Amino acid sequence: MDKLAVPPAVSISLERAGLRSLSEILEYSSGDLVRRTGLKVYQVQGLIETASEAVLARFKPLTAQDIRQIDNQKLSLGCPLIDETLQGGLLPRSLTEVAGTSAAGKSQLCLQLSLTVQLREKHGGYSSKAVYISTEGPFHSKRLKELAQFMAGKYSYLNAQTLMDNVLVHHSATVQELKVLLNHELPCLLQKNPRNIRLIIIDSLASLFRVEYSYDDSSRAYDLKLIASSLHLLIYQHQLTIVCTNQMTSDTKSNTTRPALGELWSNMVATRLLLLREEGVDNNAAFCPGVNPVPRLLQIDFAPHLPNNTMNYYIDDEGVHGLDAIDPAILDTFD
Amino acid sequence: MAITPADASSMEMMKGPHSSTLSSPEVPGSSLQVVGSAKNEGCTALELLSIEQDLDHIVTFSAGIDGMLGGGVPVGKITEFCGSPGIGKTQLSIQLAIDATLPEPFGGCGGHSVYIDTEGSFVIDRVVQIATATVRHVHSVAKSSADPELLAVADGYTLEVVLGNIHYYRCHNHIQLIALSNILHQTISNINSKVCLIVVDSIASPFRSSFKDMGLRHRLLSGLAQTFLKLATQFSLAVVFTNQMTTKTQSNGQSQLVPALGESWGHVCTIRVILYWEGKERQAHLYKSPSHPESVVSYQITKDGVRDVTDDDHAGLDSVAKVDWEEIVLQEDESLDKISAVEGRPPSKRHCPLEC
Repeated sequence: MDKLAVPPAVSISLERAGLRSLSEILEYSSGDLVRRTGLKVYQVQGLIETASEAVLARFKPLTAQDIRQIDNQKLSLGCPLIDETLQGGLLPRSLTEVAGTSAAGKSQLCLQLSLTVQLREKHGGYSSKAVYISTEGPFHSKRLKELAQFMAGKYSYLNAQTLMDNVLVHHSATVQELKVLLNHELPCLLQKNPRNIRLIIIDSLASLFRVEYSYDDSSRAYDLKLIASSLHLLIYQHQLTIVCTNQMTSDTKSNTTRPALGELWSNMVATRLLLLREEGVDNNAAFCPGVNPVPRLLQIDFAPHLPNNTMNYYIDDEGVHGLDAIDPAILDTFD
Repeated sequence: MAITPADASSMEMMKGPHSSTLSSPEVPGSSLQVVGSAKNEGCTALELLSIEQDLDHIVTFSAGIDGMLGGGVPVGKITEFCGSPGIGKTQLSIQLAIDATLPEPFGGCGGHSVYIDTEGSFVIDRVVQIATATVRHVHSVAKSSADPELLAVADGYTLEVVLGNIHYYRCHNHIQLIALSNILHQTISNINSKVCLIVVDSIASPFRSSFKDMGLRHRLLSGLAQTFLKLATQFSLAVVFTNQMTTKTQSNGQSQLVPALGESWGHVCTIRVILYWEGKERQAHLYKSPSHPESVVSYQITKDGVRDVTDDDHAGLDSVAKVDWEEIVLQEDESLDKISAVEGRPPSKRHCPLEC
């Protein structure tokens, strides 16, 4: 604000009118500014343009062609088939929601992601750490260890101990705690580890909100908005990929289930994946003769870059895997 | 109430031509000049009609939606598309941004477009996919016509040209959006070619998070709309806003999805289209338009972008989706190989087994 390149007369008038920040200036209409500051119309016009330029000082004009040259590598989910359905994996610098029925494998997928982000770029990861924010009971550290051991077995440059160490686990039992974490603790942590943490997982957001607020509580909507803006700010400032899990709620009107937290939250999410266990499962699909033969359904509910495809998947000791009914050859690799 | 001569004379003054006060020497360089009708001398409805008919439209590649809007998204006006997440607002925005670059002989404006992204949903892979399909379409039209002039135009219309003509801005909050709108006229003048379209995807997002003062919100939104409308008339370009939906609880306890940003925002946009699901089909409902009757059409989103629903699609929507998907995979393969060749990565890494 002090560096704003305006004539001295203008800055004195601004001082007198008590306008100290760029956003204050831009939130007034030019008519209001004329009345408040007593400046001339053309001075106010100049002031608004100067203030606008100051806000956008770090903006670089980009064309779509320029954006194409930026690194847009997606984050692998650790299974070639699932990655194929998602055309490479999760979008970088974006908020993805994994919604699903209970025991569909939401946490399993999140745990797997906290490991794949540590892979080298050529294997679909970012060679970086993950923050895992757990809200439902204890963190599944045993399961993470199991997955880490399998992962370390596959990639010689990884070892299970480091894999576990690189997942930073936080607990948030209330919305208030989550707010403090997102607005104060995480920014500090990210500042200390620049470009070293690229993934944040919140498992699950829904449980916090569904416990603390009743459905029609207006403060629920307001707090959800605040959380979403904090997440988007983190994404922007630290080049993060953020994954939230969500529960399903039953719609009494149409007798179907849909993701919880309402329409407002849906609008804040870029990609939504549905994991379904009971309904819509194709029983004819080939299933793996593994430990857990229940075939489940992954559905792309919406995504800016993907068609609404579905695929079957299953979960075994080694994690979440896609199931390809057409090509049974892939199953051989798991025998 | 009797009117005194003094009142009458002051009323006379109020009626006086605005141009005299606006172009007075006290406000040099003021951008308050009345845009649109050049000197504000007024014009007849007949003249307006001929101006209106000359105005371009930006096609959507869905004949249904184009027909509903009278040829596409009109230049010089604000068109708003509302819908739930996943219905295709961003797809439509990307499609329009690409279509604005279509050369004139192919039904476009041959210009540039400005894309303002407030949600972070501008995924370049998808843009490349739709742009590739559009370029392919232009080339095939030119080839089938065998007109040397068209062929020459088509030759100059490549993926790189399309992408280079889309100017992208990412706004993270309402202040950035307002600031951008204030200096956009400079940006547009600096682009050495005609800008035909400004898309804001979405207008709702910066205003739905963390706003408690609804009066301020409405004032800022109206101000923004005014700035964009000014740009629309000044540069004769089309402005497209996308808007989200919100749940409104009625007095009888029933809830209903309505466009976000409140009742007062509904007055701001000249044309409002609501996109929604009808079963498994996407539909567009022209909800508000000064010149066209309310109507509903179906459309679909394919790998190539926004398209009409044909009769074949009605027969087996799902199977079509699956076929599309396989084609996408094949396409992706090629582009991946190309990218990896450039960046020195092993080609088609997707097929590498997970073993190291």
